[in-house]
Amino acid sequence: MFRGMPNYQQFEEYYNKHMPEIYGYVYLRIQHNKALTEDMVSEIFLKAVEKFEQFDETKGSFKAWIFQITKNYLIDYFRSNKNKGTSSLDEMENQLRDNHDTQKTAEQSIEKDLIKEAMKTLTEDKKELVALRYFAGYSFEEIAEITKDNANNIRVKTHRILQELKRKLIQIQ
Amino acid sequence: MNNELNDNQLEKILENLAKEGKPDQKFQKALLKEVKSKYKKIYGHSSWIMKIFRFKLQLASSLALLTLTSTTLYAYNSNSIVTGDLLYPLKRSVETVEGYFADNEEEKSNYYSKMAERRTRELEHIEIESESYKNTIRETERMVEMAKTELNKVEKRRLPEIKIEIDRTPENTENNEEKINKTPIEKKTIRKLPETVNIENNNKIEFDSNSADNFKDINETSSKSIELKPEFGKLEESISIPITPEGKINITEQVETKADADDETTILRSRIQKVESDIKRLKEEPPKNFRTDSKVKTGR
Repeated sequence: MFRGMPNYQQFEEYYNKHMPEIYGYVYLRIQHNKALTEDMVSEIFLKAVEKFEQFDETKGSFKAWIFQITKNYLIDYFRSNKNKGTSSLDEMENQLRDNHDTQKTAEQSIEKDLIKEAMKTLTEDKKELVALRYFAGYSFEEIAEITKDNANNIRVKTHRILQELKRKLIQIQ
Repeated sequence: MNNELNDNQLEKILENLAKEGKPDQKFQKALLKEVKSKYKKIYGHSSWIMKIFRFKLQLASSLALLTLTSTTLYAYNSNSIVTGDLLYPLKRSVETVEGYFADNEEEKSNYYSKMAERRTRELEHIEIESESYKNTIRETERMVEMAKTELNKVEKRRLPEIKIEIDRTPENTENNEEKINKTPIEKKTIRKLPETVNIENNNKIEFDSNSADNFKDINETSSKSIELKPEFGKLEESISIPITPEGKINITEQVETKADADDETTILRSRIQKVESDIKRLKEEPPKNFRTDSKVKTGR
């Protein structure tokens, strides 16, 4: 059945609501590079516009749909960078230098750098969970919907990641 | 950094870190503008314009469909749409499609009868003795023939069943024992007794199909059997009835069971007969004057 033309107003609503979340998620996944994040988020949302006709609310939320597009985009990005001989971890080294917190206190800056350093050692799926929880700002239930997992599992996994991060922070210090 | 960092503190640091990952308002607006531009490029300049366009398109399609359906119904139901008319091919196409749904002899016969009746009604709107008139009569006759053929098939299936038991044992068993005493008794079931029986030497024996007695005492010694052929007897298969050395055929039993007359078949037969008589009358005594009806077509 013909679903009809997508509604722009609806897309704009989705954009206003979910763009910051996607931005935060991408920001962490590509190791805190603002310029690169902006480029990527632009491409992700322009891609979403192209595919918006295929979006079916009855099959899932916009959040899950846009996240899937983002995830696929990042997979392609990391794959192509791997072929070029760089990786997300290599980039992280560069991103760590790209610190915009010049106005923050030195202590805060050190704290953040240490956290970034600790997060560098996390596996990709753990980084993704941190990105969704703290950078995209999703609830456990929302992450469960996106990752097609159980909310309680997500809660437990997140707790374990925090313990791991704490241990790594101690090691780094 | 404090070594005894608890979960809440760590979460707070992460949340602070996440604040870096918030988009600038300027970027957010610029991207929205770009998104809007791309949206328009892909889906049209204005969604409400597109909505009106789509509504009009749907309305036009619905009207076209409605018009086509109404025209088709009109063409099919109108007797005044006759050969040579613009809508006549449409009418005939619908009739052809209707014919596809007739999938047994009775339905086919019914379909051909209906077509014959429809052609007859069309005759009232065609100029008498014109080529179209003659063609329509021929078409009606063709439909009648086809209706009859199909109806005959139906009736043949429902013909009275006659069972014949042929006793091959000769009457004078003592004299002919050596020749035929081992011949088994044969039982055959046939649909209908033949009206004409061909004998091998081309002699013809006429007999009444309702009387088994006519089989007896056939003085034909040159042949060993009578062949009952399907084309003469409307039999399902050819059967052979042996003649005794004395030239006799013994039929010991004849049972006839009449099939109940089917109301629908009877009605169908009478409908065909009516069209047949109408056509016959029109051919024998065609109306003398042209009709004055403005709808009467001159034909070609």
